[in-house]
Amino acid sequence: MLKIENLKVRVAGQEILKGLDLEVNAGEVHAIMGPNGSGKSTLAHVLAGRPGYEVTGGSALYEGRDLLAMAPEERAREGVFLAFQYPVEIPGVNNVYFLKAAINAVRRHRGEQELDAMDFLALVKERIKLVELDESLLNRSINEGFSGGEKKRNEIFQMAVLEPKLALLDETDSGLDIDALRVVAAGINALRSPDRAMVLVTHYQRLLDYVKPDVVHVLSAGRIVKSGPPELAKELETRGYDWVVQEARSA
Amino acid sequence: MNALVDWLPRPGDEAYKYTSFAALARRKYAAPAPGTVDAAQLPAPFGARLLFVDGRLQDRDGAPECGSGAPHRDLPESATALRKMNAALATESITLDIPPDTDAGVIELLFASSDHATPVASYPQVTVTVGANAKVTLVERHVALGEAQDFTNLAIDMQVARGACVTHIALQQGATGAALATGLHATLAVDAQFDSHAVHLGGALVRADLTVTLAGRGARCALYGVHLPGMRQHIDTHTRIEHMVRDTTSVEEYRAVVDRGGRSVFNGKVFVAKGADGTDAQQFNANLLLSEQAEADTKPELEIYADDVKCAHGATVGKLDEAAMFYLRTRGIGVEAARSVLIWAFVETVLTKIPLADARRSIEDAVLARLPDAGLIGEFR
Ligand SMILES: Nc1ncnc2c1ncn2[C@@H]1O[C@H](COP(=O)(O)OP(=O)(O)O)[C@@H](O)[C@H]1O
Ligand SMILES: [Mg+2]
Repeated sequence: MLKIENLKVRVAGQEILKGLDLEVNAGEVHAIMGPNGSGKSTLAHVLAGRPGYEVTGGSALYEGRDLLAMAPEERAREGVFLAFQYPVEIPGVNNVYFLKAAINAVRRHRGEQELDAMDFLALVKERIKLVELDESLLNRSINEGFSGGEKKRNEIFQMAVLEPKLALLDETDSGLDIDALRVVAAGINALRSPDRAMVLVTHYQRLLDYVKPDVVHVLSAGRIVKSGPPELAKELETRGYDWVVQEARSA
Repeated sequence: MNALVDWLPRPGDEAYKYTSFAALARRKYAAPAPGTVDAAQLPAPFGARLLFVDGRLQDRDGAPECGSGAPHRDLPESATALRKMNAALATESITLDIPPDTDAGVIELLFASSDHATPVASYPQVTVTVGANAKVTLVERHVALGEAQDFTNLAIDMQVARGACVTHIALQQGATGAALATGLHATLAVDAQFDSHAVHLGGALVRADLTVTLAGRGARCALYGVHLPGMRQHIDTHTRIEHMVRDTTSVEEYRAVVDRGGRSVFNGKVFVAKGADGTDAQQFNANLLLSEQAEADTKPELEIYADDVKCAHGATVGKLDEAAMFYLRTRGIGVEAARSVLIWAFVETVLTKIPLADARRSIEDAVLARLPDAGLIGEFR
């Protein structure tokens, strides 16, 4: 579903991704771990199409198509979803209308009929249960005044409504207490499916106790330096990242 | 030679620092002839309508409060240059008298520019007296039926008696090349209220002066406005709120969205006289620049001579929030639609305060028509 080869990205004149390779197939869940500043969010953002991120080399194919050539909205309509590490507050733009506009943009793109208000609300009310988010938040401005946990749950809720094929979750676990983490993890697990691929970017292995990945990668200084089974996450938790970085250097 | 030349603001006049009317001197204007308009081309009225065609009162459909008299020529020395121009060149003053203890409903002053070749300069003058505890909504609306590059210099004087309540809704949709100057001065007695909602969409050179004198205890005003200047449009609002006595309140919020080649000017003066303790004055001006070739000047001015006052003001000039744009786009919303959604959110907070539903709807539609891709926004209203 996603095939990244030798991807190099500059941000604000500085090379952040320095030749990154990653392949994710439908139905798989991959975890990307790594120290702060290693380029995890940069990877998530560049895959979602953030302006200002300059691709200086390599490629990223999504379902065989050049992902990097597509506008952010086109990627979204084709089924790519980014759950933000820091969801953006947008005062004056109502959450529920925004979501209706979003889902109908996706449906139009797929040649499907737009959802009317009734069907849409039914869908929203069903999916919001998944993340145990208070319905009253729907009628507020997007993320405005939401607590940290509510923002993260709102991201997963949006994912549940938009039903992407490729979900990139950027530190969706950070800043959550243990109860909220369980809820978010349950939401993510409910959305696992044979047609869907997920990339979980995380700094801690905590989330991986609840969402079991198929592969764990370590991102360091702009490259994937090690990939392994879920147990690798545990090892990173106890031993830290340094040994992986050393190992990669001497290889 | 144009009669107006003698009355143009002098170079160096601080009140016109950012807004020059000098170009008017080079234009040839005709005096308004008894023009005609095809009634079918006029927008549907919001209430009883006084129709001014090229500055002359033509029809007073269902507005019994309306009369006419000699123009007011005497103004204090402190009056602005354009206001003095109006006083000098007006040919009559239209009067509206709202009797005490009545609800006059909605009265619309429609200033229609007819479809004619030679530009017309006109100086309409309107004097409104609102009796004690009376209520009226006054709509001031400027439309163009052609592309004439007219100059309209409108003066409205309003005396609002004790306990009376006035809502002023101004919708300015002048012709692309038109120049417009409006000067509205409302004087409020004890417990009187004046709320203004001004939306400027049209015109090439627009200057709106809005002065409110809170002369009676408990008097209050709220001034809201939106400027949407685009290519070759210069829109300037100068407000002056005078807190003359104790316990008077003012709220003000103006918002401008400036597109490429446009310029917005806002100057908000709050004057608090000696002894006007208990004054509460809140002012906010926000500007959204959509292009590098967009300009906004904003200046709050406080002149306070009382001790016990609550005055706050704030001004912002910014661009569309890139992070918000990206967020919307990652959810499948196209770039033009995302821009429209954010612009809409920016101005809607002010538009939503317009109390007359018909007018609000029509103003919102006019604003939406200016956005790059407003198709989605039906969802957001
Ligand atoms: N917009 C930006 N401008 C400048 N530097 C940036 C920007 N975004 C990220 N960086 C830098 O890129 C590096 C990687 O950041 P990031 O991808 O956020 O790391 P991670 O998510 O792994 O913590 C850091 O050194 C960070 O300072
Ligand atoms: Mg990060």
